[in-house]
Amino acid sequence: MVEIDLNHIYKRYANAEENNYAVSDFDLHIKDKEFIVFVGPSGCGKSTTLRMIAGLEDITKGELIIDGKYENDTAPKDRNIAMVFQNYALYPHMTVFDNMAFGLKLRKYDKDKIKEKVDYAAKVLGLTEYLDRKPAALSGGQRQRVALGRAIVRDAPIFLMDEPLSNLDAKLRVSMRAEIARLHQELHTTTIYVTHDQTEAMTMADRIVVMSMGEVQQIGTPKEVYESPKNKFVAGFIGSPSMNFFDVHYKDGIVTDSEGLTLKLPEGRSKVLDEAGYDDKDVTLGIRPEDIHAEGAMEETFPEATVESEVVVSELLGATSMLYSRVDGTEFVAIVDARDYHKPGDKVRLTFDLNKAHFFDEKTTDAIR
Amino acid sequence: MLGSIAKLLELYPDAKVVIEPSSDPHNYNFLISGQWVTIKKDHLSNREKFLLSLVSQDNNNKSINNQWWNFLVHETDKIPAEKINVRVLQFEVQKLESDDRANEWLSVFEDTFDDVVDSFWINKYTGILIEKETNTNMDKLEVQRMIELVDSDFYTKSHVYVGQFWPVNDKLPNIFDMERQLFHKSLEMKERVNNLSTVILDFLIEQNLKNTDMFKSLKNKIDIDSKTTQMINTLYKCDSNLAKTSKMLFLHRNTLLYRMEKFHEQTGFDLKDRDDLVLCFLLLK
Repeated sequence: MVEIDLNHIYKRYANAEENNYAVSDFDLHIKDKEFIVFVGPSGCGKSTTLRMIAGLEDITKGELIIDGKYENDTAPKDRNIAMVFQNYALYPHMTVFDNMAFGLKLRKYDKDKIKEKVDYAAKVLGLTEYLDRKPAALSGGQRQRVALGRAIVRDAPIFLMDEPLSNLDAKLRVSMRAEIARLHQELHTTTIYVTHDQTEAMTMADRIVVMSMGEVQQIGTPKEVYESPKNKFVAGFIGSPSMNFFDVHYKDGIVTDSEGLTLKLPEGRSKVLDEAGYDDKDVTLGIRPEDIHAEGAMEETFPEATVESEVVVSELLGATSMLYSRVDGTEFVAIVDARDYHKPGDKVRLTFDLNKAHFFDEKTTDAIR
Repeated sequence: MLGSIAKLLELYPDAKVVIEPSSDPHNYNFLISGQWVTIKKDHLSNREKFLLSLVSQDNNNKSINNQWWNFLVHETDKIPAEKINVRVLQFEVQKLESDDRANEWLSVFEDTFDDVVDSFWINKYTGILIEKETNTNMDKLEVQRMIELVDSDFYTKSHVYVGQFWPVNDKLPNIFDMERQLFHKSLEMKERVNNLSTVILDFLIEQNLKNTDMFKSLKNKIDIDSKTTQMINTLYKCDSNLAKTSKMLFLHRNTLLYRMEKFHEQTGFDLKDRDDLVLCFLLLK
């Protein structure tokens, strides 16, 4: 049973200005055996937070509590944490077995125990037949498995992973993603995984922590952050392709933009905006590509949310196709059924499912609810 | 050795002996006989900072009997090797458990390089690795990967300054003096592995500009919060390319432009102008 509390954690580096924090007010409770993903663009403070948990960075302000114990000043070796890095470097002159065993040898484990742990990790990771090889004779994926093995042999209840798949090619990343998820289920560790890839976050996490510029933007399940983003940053970062945004003016149930786009909102949506005091104000309208439709049935249901657009670029992906389209000067992307594929230059009528639209305050960028 | 710390404390009553270098940006840290001493920067001139770093180096030298070290710190003119180019990697390792563990650490670190000429500790925390130039030397990123690996096994926290390759001749000790100063500067930086390119700007700013009234006044004009810092740093890294910068910051291009204009109004610095951008980037140092 391992629970982690990060209570109002701040990090400022030695040469930074007084009010310039790399991480600000990070506050999170992590449950036992939970798989938490920190996601955000590079420089957002996610790796710094992970390194503070590992003890590789000092905490400037705030408390790190692991299983009820204050751990800010505990040496990294005494934290019972295993870490996997983005750079899956291995000792070039050691075999796979020795690479995995090295940390245990330093900790003076007896030989039989080391062999038992390495054999187990090798079996779990499918590396048994490679134990005598040197790293130079392994593929990138195999080397990353050995790096995982080095963490597994430590038998630690907490796993910290810092972009462990970012150096692998796309295909390998998908298979390793599944492998890490399987390992988590098998080893029952509390895992914190750092990535800039929102797809990894969505597919692996029990809960996602979205970060930007050192601050937590939202914490929630993948479904929560996807369906109810707290602000425009989260809405734009989570989801691929990204949510479409339109700077619009809202008045009397209708949104218009300066480029000629006019859409009538369903009653429920306009009520929310009216009640929040946004009538006759500028807002940002956000709509996901899959909530823009090309089927006639949708147009029949929402005729006043339908626009005549011109396809600029189209990509057929098999079951679906992506239409990068334009209405006057406004550009957006729609994911439609492959049957509704259109060539660039085609005119196509697209219907916005505004029941699923999101609205954001133009200045604060917070979601309007 | 401890006597020198006592004398230092006498000269600077506000100085403190601490376990780890202070993260307070207003403090200056020195490693003297294995002990970190921290002093308020305001209480030291640049000349004093430099002299103090030299004093601590001299104290450390006395216990080291190594031909390379003696050559590098001008204690002997005898050139230890000829007709080769070498680079000096300087490292500081924190959180080592014992002296035995330190030797083990050094041996493992050394094993990750193919062409080591010599490696040794110069005090409890800092050491030197001298590497011959070949066509298989690790670059900065590879050294960083290796140091992460070694740190993960030893639970240590290490900083490495990767020097340039130089011929071994009578000029090398003078070059090493400079690399020593750069190494000390690199210890304040976020990145754990640094080289000339990553440290030189911070170093030159600190040496020549940081404490001038002009620099301080200019700096006061900028409201340095994390968003402004990130905007300026990203614009600089993206060579002023707005599309790239807005993509990296996950901002709409218009939002970025709006922030740049607001910054222009507030400070008079136009970040679309390359010279203004470089100046603001330097002011953040």
